[in-house]
Amino acid sequence: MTATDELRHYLDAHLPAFRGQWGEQPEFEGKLAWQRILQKGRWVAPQWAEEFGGRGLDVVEALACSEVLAEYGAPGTAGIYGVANVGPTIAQWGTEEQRRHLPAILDGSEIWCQGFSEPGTGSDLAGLRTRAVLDGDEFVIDGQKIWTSDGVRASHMQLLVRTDPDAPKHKGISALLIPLDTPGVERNPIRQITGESEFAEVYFTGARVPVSSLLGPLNQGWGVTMTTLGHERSGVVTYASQVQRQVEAVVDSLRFDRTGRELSPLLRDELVRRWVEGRVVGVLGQRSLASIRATGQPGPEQSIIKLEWSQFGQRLAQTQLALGGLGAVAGPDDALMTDYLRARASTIAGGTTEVMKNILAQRVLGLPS
Amino acid sequence: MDHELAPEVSELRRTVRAFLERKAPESAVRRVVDEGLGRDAEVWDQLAQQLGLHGLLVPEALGGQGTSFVEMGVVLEEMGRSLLPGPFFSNAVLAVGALTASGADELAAELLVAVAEGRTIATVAFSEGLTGRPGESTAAARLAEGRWRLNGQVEAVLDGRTADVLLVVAPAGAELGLFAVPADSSGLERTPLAGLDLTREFARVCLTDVEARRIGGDFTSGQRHVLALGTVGIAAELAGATQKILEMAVDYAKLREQFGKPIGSFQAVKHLCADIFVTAESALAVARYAARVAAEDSEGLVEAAALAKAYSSEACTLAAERNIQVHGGIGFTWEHPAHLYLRRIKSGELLFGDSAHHREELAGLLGLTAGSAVGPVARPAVRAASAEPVRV
Ligand SMILES: Cc1cc2nc3c(=O)[nH]c(=O)nc-3n(C[C@H](O)[C@H](O)[C@H](O)COP(=O)(O)OP(=O)(O)OC[C@H]3O[C@@H](n4cnc5c(N)ncnc54)[C@H](O)[C@@H]3O)c2cc1C
Repeated sequence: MTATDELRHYLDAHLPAFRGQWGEQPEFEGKLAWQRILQKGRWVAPQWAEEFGGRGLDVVEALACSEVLAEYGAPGTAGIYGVANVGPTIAQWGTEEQRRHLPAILDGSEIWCQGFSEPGTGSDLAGLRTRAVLDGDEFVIDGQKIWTSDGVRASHMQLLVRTDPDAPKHKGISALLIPLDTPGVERNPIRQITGESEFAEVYFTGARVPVSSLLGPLNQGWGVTMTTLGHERSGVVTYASQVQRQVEAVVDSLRFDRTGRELSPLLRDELVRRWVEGRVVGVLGQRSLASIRATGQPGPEQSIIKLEWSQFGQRLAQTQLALGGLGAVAGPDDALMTDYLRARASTIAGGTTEVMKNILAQRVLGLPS
Repeated sequence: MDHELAPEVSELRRTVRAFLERKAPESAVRRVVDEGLGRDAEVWDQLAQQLGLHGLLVPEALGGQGTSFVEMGVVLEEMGRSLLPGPFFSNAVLAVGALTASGADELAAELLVAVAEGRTIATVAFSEGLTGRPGESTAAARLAEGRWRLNGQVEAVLDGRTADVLLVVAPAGAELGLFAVPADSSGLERTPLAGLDLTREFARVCLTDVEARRIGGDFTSGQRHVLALGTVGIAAELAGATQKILEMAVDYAKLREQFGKPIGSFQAVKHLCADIFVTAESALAVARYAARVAAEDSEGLVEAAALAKAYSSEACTLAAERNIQVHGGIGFTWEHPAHLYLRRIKSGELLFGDSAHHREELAGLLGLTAGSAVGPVARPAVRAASAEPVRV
């Protein structure tokens, strides 16, 4: 039996009961419950090594598994930053002891967040100022992080700190792995434009962590963190099919209730534009997959999938509001309103559109900085 | 860039590129254009004899290569990239597409052999236009004393002046027919038209009681198929030309200095280049996707063709315009190739329907118009998951 067949069986066996209890769009608690169920079958990150709770699948198989999850409309997992970003970085750079976090990341007993951005440094991340000073066998941390997704509910953080204030800015940064219940760490939720509080500000005042918290070599935290971005790359294929699914679902529902036939010509044209954009990103994802199959790496299209994905999400949310008419901004259900507002983040978080274009122009096209 | 292509297709692409770079550089293209030659006869013959490209889609039994549209797609990419003038597309895609779609027919087989050998140049004159509007034909066929006669006119026939044989698609009673008209037929008049694209020729074709031989039976679904192939073919050309646009823009942005540094170090120029890159990659991916669907000869061809062209018509033109912006004044000169690409791409945008036309098509195919012939759909299982919270 192939991995995807096995996964299908697993989902057939567990998803209906889960939905019965938690519904189709569970909140964090439900996602956490789902992550536990999924991980009992070792399906949260099947591409991870078996010793860490994965199945050692190759990228192509793993991507096929995420397709299956998407096809079933399975809920997301709770600890997304740990699974997608921090975990792979620990797997690559971590000591034996640090790698013990990995199974805990998968089964949801540890929820991780990433403390990179600060009030003074966002796009120019390397300018970060939160300090960690070595005192005996401990780092003493002082400073502030902001916009930390999952910052309030997380149990752990991958934290970027300045450990050599005299070195050039990229060369004095280190990465630390810290539990957030460390004395001297204080966090406050920040209310977002949706009214929800998914991100937080985190203050460090003389917080002490053991030297063994250091991930990778001292002062090489920049490189350590950038490899995480590398790990994330094959994820673009998933982004791409997600975009396609999203728009196809919108079109399907309009077909289903036949309201699609009553759209004004302009609105219909706008919707079909979204469909075209969504399909094009989907096709780019397939191209990326072909490249991963051939070389193990996505090709240059990966840098544009994320760019397109982020802008597409915004446009689709706008179109969906338009489809809903006045009822979409004044109605019993605020789902579309929230989607619309939330979509504003996609061109900011994870690198703004402007910065992504700079990087693309420099790294892919070779234009001078 | 070729990971989605089989090794032999990739090899074909490289061979064609090398050939065109050698034999049809910009200077040669300009010579054909300036001297009004229509095509470079030597290059044309070599395309047929050395490379066998005219017969790519012709079955092997008729002397062709019998390859699929995937091969044709990469060849057209390269032709778009090199701006190759001449009737290759009309002949090897439209005419061959029409002849093979017409069913088993003696005349069709004869013509296919001649086309594959490079002896005959054929084109298709669509009297319902390049988007196939039923009931809006500008010509018609009539059977009198056992012979078919054509009357009317067809606007903007691609390579209508150079073709040796015109394949006219025209209503024949209740059916649609495909008719072969040799160029020297009496009553046939061909008037060259001014074209935005200097590398592509159009002619108005007037038919006054022209005797014609009918090929095959009802050509209604044949026309649909050929128009879809043409659409996919132009999407491939657009994609190839846009690859070149990207290279031109990026090379120039590295080279040209202002304010003491390369203009590519200015963010506004960087972003123009990044936008062109997005288009170039997307257009290529979607054109190759459509070519794969065309190769499978599947139901989905019309949709895939519309998808490809809905995307690339608009986007590739914008890329060609942006390229001129990156070049500044030099990009506005006759000497510079930027306008040759803009012309080719812009005319490609309109051939076989622009983006708006194809979105309208798609609306119908997706069941979003009153007239859509789409059956009942299953209830979508789950509301589309909105994007996951974004990673850092
Ligand atoms: C929902 C959400 C979740 C987030 N989660 C996390 C998280 O978990 N962890 C974390 O560390 N951070 C997180 N962030 C922060 C995010 O990474 C930053 O917001 C982002 O990098 C931008 O930084 P900034 O907010 O300081 O904006 P700035 O960098 O100040 O940018 C402001 C504007 O200036 C433009 N700009 C800046 N520099 C340039 C340039 N060189 N060229 C052109 N334009 C430029 C930007 O594009 C933008 O339009 C999150 C943000 C959001 C919105």
